[in-house]
Amino acid sequence: MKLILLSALFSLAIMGCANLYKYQMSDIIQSEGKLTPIDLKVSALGFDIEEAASVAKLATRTKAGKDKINDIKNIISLFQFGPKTGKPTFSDDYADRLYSDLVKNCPSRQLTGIQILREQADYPVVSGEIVRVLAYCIEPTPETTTAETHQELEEKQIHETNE
Amino acid sequence: MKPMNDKIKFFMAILIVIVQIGCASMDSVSITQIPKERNNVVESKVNTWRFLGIGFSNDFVLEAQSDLMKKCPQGNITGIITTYESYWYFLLVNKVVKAKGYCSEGSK
Repeated sequence: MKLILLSALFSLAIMGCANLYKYQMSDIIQSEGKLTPIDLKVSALGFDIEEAASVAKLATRTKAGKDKINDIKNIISLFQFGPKTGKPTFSDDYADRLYSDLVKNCPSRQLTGIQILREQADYPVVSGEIVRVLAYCIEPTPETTTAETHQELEEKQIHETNE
Repeated sequence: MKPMNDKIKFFMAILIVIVQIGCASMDSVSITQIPKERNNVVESKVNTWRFLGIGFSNDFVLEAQSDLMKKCPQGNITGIITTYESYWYFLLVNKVVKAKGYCSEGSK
């Protein structure tokens, strides 16, 4: 019975939890052409000092060992303070490449309906700190392309007339 | 004295529960550029309930945008204010995403 309960708890722990910290949505332009969805995700491992120290203490039998782990945990914690979302990562520039990835996935380079989710997939000791971006790539239709060409031609004619 | 202590404990427990009920927090808010034409307002609201705040997926928020797009077919939605809120009810939390914008026809 104990084994079954422990296994159930362990399964629940390793399944992980999802936390959503922030959500943003941009304007949605649906009249310029066909919309093709894009879904991108970047992540970094987050490290929880408290949980790591608890796990390390379990492996230590002596009081002196546990005290040493506590001291190390407190020293590291001093470097991690201030407002933040999720567990600390070793580098916070993991989301920098999202912009170039978005542009690469959209040949027309016209994006709309951009949604940004700052979320976390939670596992014991480590977490996945995730920035997820969903957007639509506008593929101009022949009508919009023709309309733009007409507009350009008209403007050119007006410009030549004025000259 | 003993029954009196039990009564006090009971009322303290009720008070703690009442204090826990309706704890609201704004997790994030964003707004896009507000248009000149503001006649046609479209709104959407999606939510999910979580026990102890534990959830296994955040995909529920994506319905907010698709709802808005359905209410403004082939149109443009601008001036969107999006809020992500949490309401705690003792052990349950209600995660709510609200989006409100202005629908206008396209330029073609």
